Amino acid sequence: MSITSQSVYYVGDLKTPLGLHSVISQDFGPSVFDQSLKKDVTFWPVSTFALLFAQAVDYYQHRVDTIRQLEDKLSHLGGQVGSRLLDHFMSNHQKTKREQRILPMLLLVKGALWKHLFGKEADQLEQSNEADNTYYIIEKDAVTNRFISVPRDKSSLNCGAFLAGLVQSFLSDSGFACSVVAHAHKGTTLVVEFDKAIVVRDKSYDGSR
Amino acid sequence: MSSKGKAPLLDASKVNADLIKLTYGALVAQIVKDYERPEDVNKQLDKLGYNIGVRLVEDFIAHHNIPRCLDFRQTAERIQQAFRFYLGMQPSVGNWSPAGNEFSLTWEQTNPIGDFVEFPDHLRPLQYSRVLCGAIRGGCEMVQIDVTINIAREFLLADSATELRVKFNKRLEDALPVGED
Repeated sequence: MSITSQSVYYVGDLKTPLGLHSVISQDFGPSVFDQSLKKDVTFWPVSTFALLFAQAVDYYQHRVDTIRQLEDKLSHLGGQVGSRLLDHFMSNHQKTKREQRILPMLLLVKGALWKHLFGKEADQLEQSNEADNTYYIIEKDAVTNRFISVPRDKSSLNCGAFLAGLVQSFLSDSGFACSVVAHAHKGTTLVVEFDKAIVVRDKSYDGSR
Repeated sequence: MSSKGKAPLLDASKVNADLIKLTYGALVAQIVKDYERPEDVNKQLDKLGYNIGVRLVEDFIAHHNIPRCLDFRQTAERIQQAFRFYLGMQPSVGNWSPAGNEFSLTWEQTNPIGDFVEFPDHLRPLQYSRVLCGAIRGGCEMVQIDVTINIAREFLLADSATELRVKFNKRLEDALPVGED
């Protein structure tokens, strides 16, 4: 009994390494456990994004037949980004609570997410008068549309589809199944249409209070 | 930047770097799906980068008031400056060849665009940073310098750094208009 109490257990910064953490930090410098989850958000000039995004549009353009398909492709691309962004964004904002209601979630997208991505909030958030499951996120000057000049014969193309896909997968992955479509109205309007089930769920929270 | 009453000539707004990296990653994933053979993908990425470089040069010169380069060392400095401006991470320039026609751009312990990337084994020939090479090539070509760029080390493939080797070939005498693709 007396032997164990003397020699074996070390805790904290004593000389002998204990466990994985200290082994790693000895060999390779600071370990992953020492780093904060919260990272400084770095911003690059909008030109970098514009140049890359223009190439993305260009790449798809040669591989589709209709404008609809092109928008689908862009939306898919945005979707890939959105679902990967979700974790990153949440950990960065140290959100310990998951949003349950529709409105706070949309406000999060409009406010914090937009700020995180573009350094400013989206311009407006509106609810449709006719349907209770439809909301509009309005962005007057979306970066995806600012630098893409659309030829006349393709005038219905809206590169905001990228943002729509991004928001759609961001919301869907956080438990708000929805479909998002971009329209060219007051700049770019993202029409968010939630599944009926989501609206029912949202209403049921009202009843429980 | 702009005088009062005029719209700003240069857009000073910023976009989250992660968004750009993820967008590029998603695009690469799409290209891999379309082409399958890594060599073809590399070719596409190079073309993509080239087209970026061709357009980038004008934007870069508009943002920076810089004179014409007189020798290749100045060119290297400009490329370094361009990376600092566009990717926020400045590579170190070094490893000059004795003839002074070849140098390395090195990012120690990082890849400026590769934060979220994992390489599956069967894609090891894929050159994720190829787009940077293409951009340098396109940009230099627009100012009548013909260069060849190779990826000497790739941090994503467990090297200690990302290193691009830039080699000067010749000055282009005729500035032919470059066809778009």
